[in-house]
Amino acid sequence: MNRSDDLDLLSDYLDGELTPTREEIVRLRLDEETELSKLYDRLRSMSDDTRAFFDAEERKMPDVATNQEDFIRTTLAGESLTGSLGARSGIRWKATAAAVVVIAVVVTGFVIRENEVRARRFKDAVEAALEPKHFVTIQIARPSLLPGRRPPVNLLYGRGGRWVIEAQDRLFVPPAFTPNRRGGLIRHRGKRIHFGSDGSVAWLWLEGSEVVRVMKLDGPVPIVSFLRSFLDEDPSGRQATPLLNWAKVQDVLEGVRSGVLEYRRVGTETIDNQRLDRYDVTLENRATARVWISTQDAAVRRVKIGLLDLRFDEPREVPEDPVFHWSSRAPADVRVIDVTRD
Amino acid sequence: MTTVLRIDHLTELSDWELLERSSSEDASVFGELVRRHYRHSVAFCTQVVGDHGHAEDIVQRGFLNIFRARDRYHEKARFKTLLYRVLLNLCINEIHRRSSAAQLSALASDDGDGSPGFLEDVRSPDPSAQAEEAEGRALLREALGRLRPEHRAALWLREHEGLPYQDIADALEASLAEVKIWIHRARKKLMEMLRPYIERGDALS
Repeated sequence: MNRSDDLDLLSDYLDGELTPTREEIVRLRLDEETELSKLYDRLRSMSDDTRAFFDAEERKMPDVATNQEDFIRTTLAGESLTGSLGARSGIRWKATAAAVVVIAVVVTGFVIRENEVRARRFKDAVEAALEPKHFVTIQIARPSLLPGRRPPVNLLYGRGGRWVIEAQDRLFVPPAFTPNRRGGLIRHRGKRIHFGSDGSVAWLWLEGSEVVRVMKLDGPVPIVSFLRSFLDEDPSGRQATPLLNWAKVQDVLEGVRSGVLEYRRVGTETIDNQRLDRYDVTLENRATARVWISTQDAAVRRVKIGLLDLRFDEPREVPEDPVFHWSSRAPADVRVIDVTRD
Repeated sequence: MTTVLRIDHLTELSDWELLERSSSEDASVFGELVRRHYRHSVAFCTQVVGDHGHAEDIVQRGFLNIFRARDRYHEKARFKTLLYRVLLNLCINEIHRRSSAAQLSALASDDGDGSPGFLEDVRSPDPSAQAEEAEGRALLREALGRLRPEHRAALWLREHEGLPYQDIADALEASLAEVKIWIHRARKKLMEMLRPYIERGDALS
């Protein structure tokens, strides 16, 4: 066991998060291994210092009693203000929308008589300008893979082709975003993130990271989401390029989108003490993939597509990539109405 | 006299009972809830966003959000768990907002070459305040500031609140494994950054 593993173990030991058996093992090792014992002393000392620091920081904070009345009044006033603003905004929006629709209908009627093609384009433009249109709905779920635990994330587009991501009633506008033939491309801090969805399956892929997020939203197999590195098991041990992997994933996704991809349960297997249902995935009667799904939590544990063999050992940390992070952490209580903001 | 009795009565209620009885008409009930949790909430947010002024705004927004959605919340765990969850989300949004604004111009040049992550702390310590602190304490503050906000939040809940990992996971809407990793990483980074002090056995705070 290396120093890093030891540190993790000692950290859990310090916090009392080990099982009694493991705790006993650590205790014995601490008695016998001087280096480990020193490491533990340092860790405990740092933990004590951190705690003392946090305690001191809290003591420095103001007591609410000094401005409690103001604070409460502001908070409750904020409630009333937000409510009335929301109501007013709603009324105003509806009135504006109604007016625009009336104008659109009148103008459209007029234009139809003049030029049917031009009128249709105009009507489309008016509709697009009125409100964002739902394009796809995807489910962002972190690797817990539990259905229903994460709220849906909607991709919307509004006026002028502006793209917006909606999560739990909160709207996020990516800094740079251009749809491409694969679905969409988000450029974020120099990174390129592809996404796509047709409402039944969706994926997100961070170029260069070899991390792909694929989500199956419905269908006969309860795949909710998985997120793992796509690594080829090629005999040379060489890691395949992301683009190659991407092409393979695309093949399967194409099948799902076109509706000809089928899942067939072919048996149950026990792998690493886990009971898994195995499904064969066929595209136009040709086997393309095998999927192993845990019977316990309906989580995908392994997917094999040709040389591509994806094994998912739960659980795993959320990736560093921030887009996934904040979209899955969107607050439940915030509603932003204006989607055309920057 | 009536007011005193009223306040005494409120202190006997649990957090959830206070939330349930809160209304726009009677500020005292919600006020009691705020009074109980204000200080540690501001301290928590200050740690996560690194700025006391913003922390107070966030706490106010957090309480407002909870107040507005009070009918939707039901007692499932400790009230603090809910509060920390709401606050952390707001903190991360705030960091994201500031980070986006500050980094839009650098969008093209940053290619994720190991530089600090998207949620990197944007705190800017007050030099005069820092000068007053002992060197070790200032180093600890700086080292904590370099952690990711979630790591800091998890560490706060562990070290300061003494919460078990599962409660931290509930509060931060994370899995148990994530919380473990966050705490491991936070401690490892602190150990690395503060190695000279720790090895000399100097007190940091």
